[in-house]
Amino acid sequence: MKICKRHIFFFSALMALSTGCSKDFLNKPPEDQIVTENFYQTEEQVAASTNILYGLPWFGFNTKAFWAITELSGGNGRSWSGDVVNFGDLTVTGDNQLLYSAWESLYSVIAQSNMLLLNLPKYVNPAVSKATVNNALGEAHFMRAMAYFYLVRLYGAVPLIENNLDHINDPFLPRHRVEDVYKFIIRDLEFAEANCVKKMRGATYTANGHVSSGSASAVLAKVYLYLKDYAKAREKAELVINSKEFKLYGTDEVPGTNYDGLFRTKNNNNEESIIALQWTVDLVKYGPQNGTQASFALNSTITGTGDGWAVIGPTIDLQKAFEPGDIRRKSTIMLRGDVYPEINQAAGGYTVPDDANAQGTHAAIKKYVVGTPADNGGIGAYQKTANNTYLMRMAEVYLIHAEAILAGATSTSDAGALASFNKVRRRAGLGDKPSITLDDILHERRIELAIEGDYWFDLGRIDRAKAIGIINNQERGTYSNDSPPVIYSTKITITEDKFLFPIPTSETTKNPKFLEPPVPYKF
Amino acid sequence: QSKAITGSVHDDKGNALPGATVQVKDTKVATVTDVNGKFSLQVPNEGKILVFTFIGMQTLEQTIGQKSTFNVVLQTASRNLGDLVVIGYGQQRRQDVNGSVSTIKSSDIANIAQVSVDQMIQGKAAGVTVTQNSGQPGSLTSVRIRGVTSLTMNNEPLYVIDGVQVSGDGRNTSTGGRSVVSGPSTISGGGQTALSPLAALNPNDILSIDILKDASATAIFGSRGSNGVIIITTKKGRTGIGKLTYDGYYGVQQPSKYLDVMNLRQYATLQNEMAKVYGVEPRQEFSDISLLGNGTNWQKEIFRNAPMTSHSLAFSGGKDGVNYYVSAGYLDQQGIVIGSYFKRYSVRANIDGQVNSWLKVGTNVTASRTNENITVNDLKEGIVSLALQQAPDLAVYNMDGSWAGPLAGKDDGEGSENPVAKALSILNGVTRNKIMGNIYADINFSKAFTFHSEVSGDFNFGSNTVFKPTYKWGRYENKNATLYEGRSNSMFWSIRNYLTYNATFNQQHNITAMLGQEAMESSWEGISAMRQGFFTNNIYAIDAGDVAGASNGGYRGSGAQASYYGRLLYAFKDKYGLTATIRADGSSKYDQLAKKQWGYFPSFAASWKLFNEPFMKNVNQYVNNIRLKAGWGIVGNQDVPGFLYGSSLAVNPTGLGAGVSTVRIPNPNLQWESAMQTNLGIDFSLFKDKLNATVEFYNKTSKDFLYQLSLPVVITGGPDYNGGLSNPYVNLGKMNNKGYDITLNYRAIAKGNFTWNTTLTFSQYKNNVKELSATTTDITKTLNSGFLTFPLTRTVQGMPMGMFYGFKTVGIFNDQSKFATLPKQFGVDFGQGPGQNWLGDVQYEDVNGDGKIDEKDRTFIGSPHPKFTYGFMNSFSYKNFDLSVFVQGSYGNKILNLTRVSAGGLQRLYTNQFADVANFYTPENPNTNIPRPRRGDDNPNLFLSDRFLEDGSYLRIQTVNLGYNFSSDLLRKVRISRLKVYGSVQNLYTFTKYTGYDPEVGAYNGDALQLGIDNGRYPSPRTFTFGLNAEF
Amino acid sequence: MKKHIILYFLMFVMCAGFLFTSCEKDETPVPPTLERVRLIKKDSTTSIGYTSNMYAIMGQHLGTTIKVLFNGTEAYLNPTLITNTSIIVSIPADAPWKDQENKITVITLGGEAKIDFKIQQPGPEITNFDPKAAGTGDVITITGKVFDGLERVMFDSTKAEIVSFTSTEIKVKVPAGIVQAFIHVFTPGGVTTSKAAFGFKYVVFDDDLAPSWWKGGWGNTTDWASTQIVKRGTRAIKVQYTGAWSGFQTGYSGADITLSGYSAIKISLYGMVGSNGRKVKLVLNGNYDIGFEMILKEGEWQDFTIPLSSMGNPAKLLEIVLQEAEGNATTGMYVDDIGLI
Repeated sequence: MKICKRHIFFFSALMALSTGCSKDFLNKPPEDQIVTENFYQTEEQVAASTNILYGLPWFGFNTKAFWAITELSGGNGRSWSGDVVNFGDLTVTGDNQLLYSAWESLYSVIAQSNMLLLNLPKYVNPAVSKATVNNALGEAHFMRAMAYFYLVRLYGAVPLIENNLDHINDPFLPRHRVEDVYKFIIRDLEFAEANCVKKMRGATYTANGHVSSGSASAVLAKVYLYLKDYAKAREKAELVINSKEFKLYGTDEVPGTNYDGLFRTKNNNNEESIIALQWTVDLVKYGPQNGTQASFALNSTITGTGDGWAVIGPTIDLQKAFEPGDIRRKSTIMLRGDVYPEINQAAGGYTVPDDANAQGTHAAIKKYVVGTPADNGGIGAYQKTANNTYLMRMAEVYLIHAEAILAGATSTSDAGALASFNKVRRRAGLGDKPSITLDDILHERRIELAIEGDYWFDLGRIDRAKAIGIINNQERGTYSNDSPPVIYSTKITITEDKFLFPIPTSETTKNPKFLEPPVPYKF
Repeated sequence: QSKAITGSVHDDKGNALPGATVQVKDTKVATVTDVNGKFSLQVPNEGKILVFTFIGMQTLEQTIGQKSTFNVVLQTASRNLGDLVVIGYGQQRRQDVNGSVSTIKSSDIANIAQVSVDQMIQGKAAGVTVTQNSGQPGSLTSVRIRGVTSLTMNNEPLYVIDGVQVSGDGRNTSTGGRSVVSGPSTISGGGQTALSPLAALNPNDILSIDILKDASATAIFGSRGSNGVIIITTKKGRTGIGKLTYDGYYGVQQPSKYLDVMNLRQYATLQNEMAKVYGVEPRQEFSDISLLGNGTNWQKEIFRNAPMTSHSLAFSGGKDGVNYYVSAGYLDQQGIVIGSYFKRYSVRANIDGQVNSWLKVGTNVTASRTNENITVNDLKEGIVSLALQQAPDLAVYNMDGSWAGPLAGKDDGEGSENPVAKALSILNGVTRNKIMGNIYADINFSKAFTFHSEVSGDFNFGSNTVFKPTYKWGRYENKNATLYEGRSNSMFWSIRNYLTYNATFNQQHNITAMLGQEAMESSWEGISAMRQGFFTNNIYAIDAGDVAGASNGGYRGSGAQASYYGRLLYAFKDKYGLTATIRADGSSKYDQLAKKQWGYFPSFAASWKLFNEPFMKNVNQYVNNIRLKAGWGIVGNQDVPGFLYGSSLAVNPTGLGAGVSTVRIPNPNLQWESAMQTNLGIDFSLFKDKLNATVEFYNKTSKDFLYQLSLPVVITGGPDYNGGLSNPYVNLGKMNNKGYDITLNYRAIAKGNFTWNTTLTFSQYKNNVKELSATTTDITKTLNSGFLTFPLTRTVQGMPMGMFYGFKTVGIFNDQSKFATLPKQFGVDFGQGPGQNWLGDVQYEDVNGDGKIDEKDRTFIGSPHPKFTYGFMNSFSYKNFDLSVFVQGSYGNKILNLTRVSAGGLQRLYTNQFADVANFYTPENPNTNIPRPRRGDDNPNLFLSDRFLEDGSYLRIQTVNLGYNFSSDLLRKVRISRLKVYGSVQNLYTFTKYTGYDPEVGAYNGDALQLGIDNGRYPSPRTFTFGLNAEF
Repeated sequence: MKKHIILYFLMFVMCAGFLFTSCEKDETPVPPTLERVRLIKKDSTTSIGYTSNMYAIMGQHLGTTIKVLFNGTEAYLNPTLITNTSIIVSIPADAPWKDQENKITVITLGGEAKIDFKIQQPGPEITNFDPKAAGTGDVITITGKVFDGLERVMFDSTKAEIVSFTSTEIKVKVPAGIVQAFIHVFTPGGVTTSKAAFGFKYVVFDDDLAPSWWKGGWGNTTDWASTQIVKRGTRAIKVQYTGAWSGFQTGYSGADITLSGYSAIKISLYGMVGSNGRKVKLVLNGNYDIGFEMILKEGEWQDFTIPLSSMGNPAKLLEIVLQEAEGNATTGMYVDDIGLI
């Protein structure tokens, strides 16, 4: 009995002990993530809170979607690859994975921006300066606007969301009118313009990465251009130009540089960069990196990492669009016989072989192709490079300026317009034009921003009939392997409805409201 | 004064049982039989009863009385209703169990060449659906007890191995989705990587498996038992002479089926056609088909006849109150897909000792180590899928012996990787070290009170080494060898104390009451390192790589649960039985501040042994052993990741430095999911106890079930690892599973030396989503894999979960004159222009009748749920031979065969296709059901439709096992107690209409909403085994 | 004894299982025999072939082929394109063809066999010629590849006198009357044409404007890459005057072009419908006082060679204007081959 009592006592004590510990015992916060309410406590934390908006969420858009959708559709690139071939003749359906990637990625940017806008004011330590907080909020607004700017140009009317948590229990959002989306974008950009810091771009590239008030002005200029509000586009463009915040790389504004340097990893966040996606290579994580080289590079010799699938080749149309002597050509397109000393340096540089033939074009893409890990200071891996992706750079502001002055006229010889326009041409090694037309500007934008995902949007914003004419006349065919090569001509005939892409099927299935007409947005 | 008693012990087959224990009950006096089964012992005066026990045999008690000679026969335990069933936190006679429990004995699963015990359960117990999700050695097998209870959560049962609780969840959803297999898919290749938690357990160590199916039975396990509980009892030592047992077999696995893909001639013919579709120049080497041979048969290259070896040695016995069972096992299984393998080394020590009259202590410990190489599978870029798609004009090796690959300089970037090179070059090695066990003490305070105290733990240490070497596969050249080293460990421990009161009043009322407490905690963490730029492919250790660009990562987390429970077992007059259980669980998964942590789950069950009623006396002659039982109970579920109630930020690198992204949408109101289950059952015997039947009906309703919403990505963006918000977890609606299980056991013939036993299990369940929330009327699961993206399954109220959702096809357009009257498809006019539908394209059905085909015509096109599953076991024995034939099958489920999209969609250049799609539409061949070739993965012919759905019904001859037991006379001369040699065939043949490798597709990584999807699944092999069991 | 029979039975089952799962053994290789070589696109027997082209070698016992040599040079083999009776193979681009044994050698695991097969001389290639322009009788040097057995050199339609030639270099005299022309080289291996035209010392426009020349003009619609009516090459400039005195204009913004080494500017014009007899004035460097009037001919190309001396002997070339010279807008023309000689 004695032993029984002791055991009963032991038993009771054990029970009590376990029960007594239970309050903390069952409290298990995450150990590898930060609890939101514990963040935003210092200046550094708040400043770093926007870093993510330049990277991971954009990954799906950047890797394949942006060039597949815009460059193949716009006639700058061509591909036979089954997943993207139908962009070439604009017969894609809602089942296309790249359309899904773009949609998903852009709404990731919006979601992260919105969560920041929600959490930062709620949890921030009052000791953090207002300017820092407002700058971060400005960046969030900026990136949200940027994402919507892409969405509206790709899909037309899309749902506007300011707070994602409002829609968890009522996910059946309608699409909102295009004009409201643009209004939303402008409102966000104006917030960014007013709250982001003003900067002067210098040679300390790491300080240039975050967008500034001037970046917002620049994007506003572009948005106004798309809305054909030329006066405001001009106003914003001149604001940016006169601020001299951004410089034109490869001119006397940045001595000792050239156009090609814009696309080197070591020149990330150079003086010309207005807004760029900030990639880094983490071998373990998949998502923080730039994945485009894997698709662009002609072969594995260039990448050194087993990728380099040459999924896209520059169309004959794009190749012929370059004027003789345009130095941008070599930085954009690899032609047979071209020599690139910065690629495959370990083997003494890379000479484009005589059988180079990406997708039947007898050429390959060069832009955003940076070479092997060894060519980039040991940084890089299979499907991973660290070079920034431009969302906008200063050269474009000059072209916007010129077009804003043209203001829909047939041509212009305005000194301001010519100065801006020819500044870009001179950097490219071309001669000045005494007067410019819309066609001149479109052509210049096409060349300057080739493979930067912009030409398709240019075609989408001009007069539909004119755009259809351009597209219908583009040579999207291939070169034969004869000598001299014969063009196997391919020309497409498109209709007006092709300028906007279908919302991904999986979205319209979950939310049939996406198939209904857009509604006004309540601001 | 003592009395001398002699006798012999034989089994029901007439074989002498050496080493059987003969003990005088309530005394320490005991002896064991000799090799002839004879014994003798001195019985003290107080000894009244002799107890005869032997492993695997039913214990027999005989009153001594005046007899001095006892020649007894022991019955095989599995045959008799009178055996004990482990019910969790105790045991009970089977005939007294009020809940629904099935038992599988070791003899039912012995000598089967399968590495994991969950595979062996297949078809053996009614109401248990076992599906192998992948044929890869060591991969996850899905066990569903009475259908599916949860939509996105874990549906695997809880495994209790000698009291240690192990989750069956191969996806580790409750531990944040972290798996041992953690290497980046950019170097490992990705695909289905879920590993079986039970693969570490040596099946030869198993004594019995008790499957608790209904709420009443599982209630004592509380929330962890919501998907059912499988209790595994390992072999123990018995008092008596030590025995040495050896079980070993050698097997050869081979692919059970090859799919008919195009040979080079057919491929060339197709490529010439595709060249026209794509507008490219036809390939010169394909201009004269007659010059071509068959080309490379990639399936024959990636599949192999793979050997499999198993050795198992066990030493058991008992002396002076200490019983022991010590074993060691070794298994080496090469996979039929080259490069894959699974090795297991395991040891086990089960020791228990009666310290004194009131204290018994014991320990069950097993340690195991598994090594496996995981090949890329269940993916468009997986080895199996690649073998179907890879062109036959690509050789495996070049003439110089190097790996072949698509040639550099070809016109386009098409062409896939060499699957053989990929399978053999990339290493994705996983090593898991596991120590699992418990230490317990049983204290008998008095005759009625027993206190059980137990500490159990499961410690796992995993490592994942992924090495991608430098290689040159044609145009794919990697000069940058990459190594990933991942180390992960997880720990689970629990403290359990319960007091049991057992008493009988008036010889009629038997009460067993139990009250207890339990606390358990699990924690996990991992760390990884990665480098590239190795000088050689031979040395891969992290520090041999280039430090520039090196990366590392890590994670950690934990969860806890505290519980209190009580159970009452009541039996009256051996007629009426009652089981009542209540359990209170507190979980760290829910918000403490919102007072959501604790859940309370009651249950009860009752039974009535009709056959003991006087009015049943006459009926008993024909229908005996009639027993009715009924049960009801509520069990909870907390199998979700932690901290879902709060908001957290994940840290990710960016070009600007570390960035934080919001990954959670918080839900403070998250609470327990509860499943209410009702169970009705009847047991009976017919034909003089030859036919024993159990029929059970159940109705299981999951309420407030935990569910990760599937919101439009417009709201969440991408998954959290892609920078979006993770879908939130909510308590959503109600789901119902009802069905019935039938178990029939028929001892057909028992005459002389010939016996024939047959067992049939038959299960049917009906799944139905009763309620979803007002705001979430449907759940759509989207496929995003290998250039494909489309809605896959859809779950709505009033329908089963995970139903395939797509278009219905009418046929192929083959009459131009009818276009004028047919509905326009997807907004495009009929025509021969790009993207237009024309003759040879798929015609879809206008489901909603609005005169056009569009998104609104998607509908439910098939169900992955079987109408019923069955297992049919026949055991024959004649003299020394025994033969068992086990057949199992499934009927009525559909399979979505995605390989027919990637290797049968006629949409890409340079991609091989199934041979039968060569019969595609041309104007000269208008009456085919294969559409014309068309460009692009997203072309309308490839929209998800019933075209890709196939009947997944099958009947599989699962096991044929022929054995020979050597007679003891012969063996006695060489000092062997028992020797059996056997030969068996696993997966001999499958009768099915399914065109893929294997109709047993299962759930992708165990996900219940991706049931029945074949994306190049690693097929299950046909295995020939030759082995022997020896006892010394 | 009975027990042993049972043991043997079980052993038999084991062996049967292993046999069931074992592999086939290959046959012993037999020496190959070669019968003929044929084209792939059509079954025409041939004993001659061109490099980089595909042929099928027909014979017996070719299944174990490990090497195929053309005049000793090993060809790349795709093992899947080898059957027991045929080998599909490309002649390597670097296979020697001159003064060879002219045989294909096939090596299999069973032995070796040869068959007569002559590699035809590959087509010639012009990589460069120098000088870019010269007068009648001047010798120019053409460099390139495979000029063996040179048959003739043509300047467009005119045959040139060959001074000397080697495999990689030809010296020819410029025939009379050549202002500018493509150079064609004829050898037994085929014909090749120079990428650029001979004749101009400095090209302003052949199919594209030369580097640093910008596109200007006023009062007209200019298509700088018209492929409709072309004098030479693939493109010409289409000028549609829409205003009186309107001008076609291109200017130079690169390094100076000094005119001291040049004697004349040459330009080709083609009059559109309704332009017959209309005047167009050539103006250099904006010097409108000195201009050279040219008269268009409808539907016909005319070559105008204008001495620089009649243009005021400008020191540099800065700009070229072709101005509508009648004050009557609606006329149009095609312009091609602008250059200095």
